[in-house]
Amino acid sequence: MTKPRLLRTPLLLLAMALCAAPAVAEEPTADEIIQRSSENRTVSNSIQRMTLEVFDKSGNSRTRKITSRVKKGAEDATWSYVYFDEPEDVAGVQFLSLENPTGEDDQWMFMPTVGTANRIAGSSRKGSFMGTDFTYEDMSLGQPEDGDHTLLPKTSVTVGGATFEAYVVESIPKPETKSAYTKIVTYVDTTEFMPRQVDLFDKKGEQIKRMSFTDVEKSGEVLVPKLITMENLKRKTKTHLRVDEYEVNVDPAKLPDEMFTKEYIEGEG
Amino acid sequence: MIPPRRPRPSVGALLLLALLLPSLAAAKPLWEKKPKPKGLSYGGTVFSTFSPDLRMEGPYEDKFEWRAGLDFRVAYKIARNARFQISAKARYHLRVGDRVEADFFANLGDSWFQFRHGKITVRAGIESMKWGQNTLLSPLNVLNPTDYTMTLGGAGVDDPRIPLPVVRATLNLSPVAIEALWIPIFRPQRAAFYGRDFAAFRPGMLEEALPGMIPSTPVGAVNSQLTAAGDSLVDALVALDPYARDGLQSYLVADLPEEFPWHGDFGARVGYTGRGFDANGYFLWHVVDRPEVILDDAIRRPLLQERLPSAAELTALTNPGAELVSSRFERGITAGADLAVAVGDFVVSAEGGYFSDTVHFRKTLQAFRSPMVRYAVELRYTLASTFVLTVAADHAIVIRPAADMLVERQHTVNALVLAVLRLFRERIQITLGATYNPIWQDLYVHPRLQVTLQDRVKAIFGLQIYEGFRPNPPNTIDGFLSMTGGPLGYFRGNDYAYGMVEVGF
Repeated sequence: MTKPRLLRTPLLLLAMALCAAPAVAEEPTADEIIQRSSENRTVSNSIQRMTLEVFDKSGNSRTRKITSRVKKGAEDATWSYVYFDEPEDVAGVQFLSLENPTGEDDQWMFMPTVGTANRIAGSSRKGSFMGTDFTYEDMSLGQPEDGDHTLLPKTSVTVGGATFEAYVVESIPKPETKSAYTKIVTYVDTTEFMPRQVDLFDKKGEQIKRMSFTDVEKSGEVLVPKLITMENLKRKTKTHLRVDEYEVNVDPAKLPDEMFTKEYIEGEG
Repeated sequence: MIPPRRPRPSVGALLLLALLLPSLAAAKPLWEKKPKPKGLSYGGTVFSTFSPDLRMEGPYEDKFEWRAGLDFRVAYKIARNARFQISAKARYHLRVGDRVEADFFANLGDSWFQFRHGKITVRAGIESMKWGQNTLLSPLNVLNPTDYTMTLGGAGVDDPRIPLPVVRATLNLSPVAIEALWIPIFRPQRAAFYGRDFAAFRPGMLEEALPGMIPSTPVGAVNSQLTAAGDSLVDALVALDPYARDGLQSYLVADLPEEFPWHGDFGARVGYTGRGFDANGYFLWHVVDRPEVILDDAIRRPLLQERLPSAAELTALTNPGAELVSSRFERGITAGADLAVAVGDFVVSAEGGYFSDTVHFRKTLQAFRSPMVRYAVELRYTLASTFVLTVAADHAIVIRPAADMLVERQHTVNALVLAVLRLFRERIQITLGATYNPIWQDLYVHPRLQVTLQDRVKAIFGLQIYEGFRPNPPNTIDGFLSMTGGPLGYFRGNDYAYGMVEVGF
């Protein structure tokens, strides 16, 4: 049985969007689109500074700044480390997640007021991530093995004022993923082969959220969406995840293995 | 699968929310922060707390307390492997009861320099540290002394740990880590002894007890003089404010086992991080932070028997060279281990320690030492950042108890529950904490509501409720000595509500 995808960090959201632009020779199948899209999301050794802006339905916002580091660790597992920079009441909070290929991920949260990194439970996928419109599950959407995929007719999709021709892939999450969604529809750009919009449906079959990727800029062979927006259509709220600075293919010396340990984050506190 | 339902807030909380939501809707950021230079981070909070006493019992109660505070922190990364942090806190406390007392202090908080080289990290400075993986009841959280004046009565959630000078080095050989630390300067715990609601000697205790020690004579004029003298003595004692002035605190560092730098603590930790679990072993050779307080018989016996000193005792009391109260600190060893395991949505952690020397007191007001064992288990359920429920219990055993232990017993058991619910995208945080000691029948309940009004502005409301046995008769030394309950019952007349505004910058 495929192990459920567990708690991830916003880094994986960014990883979804950092896509090397591939050349697509012929009409792919749904599985191929998802597979290629997933492969193209693979970013190893990256550092990002991001701003989370959480809007309520009146348009008032709260802001949090974070620094994320991601590394491909032992056994090709994803290691991610998030440091909360602002505001002051969360400054110094740290979150470390080490993917475990054979079981639940190992995760720790460091709270400056406590002074130690405490192990935290790893399977609460449906809960909100730090009060945003993202859930922990949203951080790892789009893994090929997590659902059964069907290709729908191509369509054009307008995101951030730009219109794209897109493959439309409908994914039904497998039961073992314990997904909060019954259906996920992904609009994948046919030319640059990256997701531009993801629609998420609840148990009643109603669309509840929409994630979009905008302000895309090209950095070498990598496409970087500088803004990821998650809208909750029922609550009429949204969250912006804005990439302020990024480095990909970072020198491994800047991301030593010791950095992705409980001891390290305690030392950073 | 049906998503788990969120617990419903109470009707009272909903009503309060209904009052507050219009202000939330109108919320705009107070100001925009300017970008900080690279490597530099700074910030802080200012707060003001008003806390009225909810149960007025007798004339000696504090009626309300007002606290204002400033916390500030600045950190700078000098290089990739070197950085420092300086933090400070300032507090102003005003207590209003039968007297008005004000107290101000400003202290350095966590302030240190850290250097990393490969797998070695060295940090030197002042720190609040924590050993043990339990978040609530943590027997191994023994490195820092506690400031008990911060924990009770309208205090809200101020950190009671007293930061200590420390040098520590960690060797990170992941998955194994080895840490060594040296705390060169001893600092004792801090407590209020007399003169306020949460002091060891309750307000009114001396006022009630001392006049009873004044003898009466058949001669009215002498009686008047004795009474006047007794009143003067009471006034003089009551005027002492050991909390504010730390007047008695100096007795707590009178006799250390060795001179600087050898009276410090030396500790070591070996940690192992496995898949799904963390484990640590600890060893500490340290100065036991509770002193053996020694009362001279000339003061101890009359106090116990609530009588006038005899002629011999008076002679001893008036001897200029007499040391009526002294204290002695001894060295001890603490050894322990902890384990934390993640299972689904739960984390189970356990820790236990052996303490070679702990100090206790007899009802005769004489100190004695005994080894002690204390262990605790904690279960924590987490639903993302929306809901956290922690349940913990601990058990302490005094290995060589005395038959007539003052207040304490051989076995102490505590149970603790803490539930945190975050609603409306974490703008509202509802917390309920409670602790119960089934032996002492001590109960403490602390509900708390935190509302984020603006991005950097919070309003916090809370109640602190104390229940349990109280001394009988209350506010007397006799009641204190014969007490069968615990500290929460002892403070039972002092329920507080508090309202607090906190602004971050």
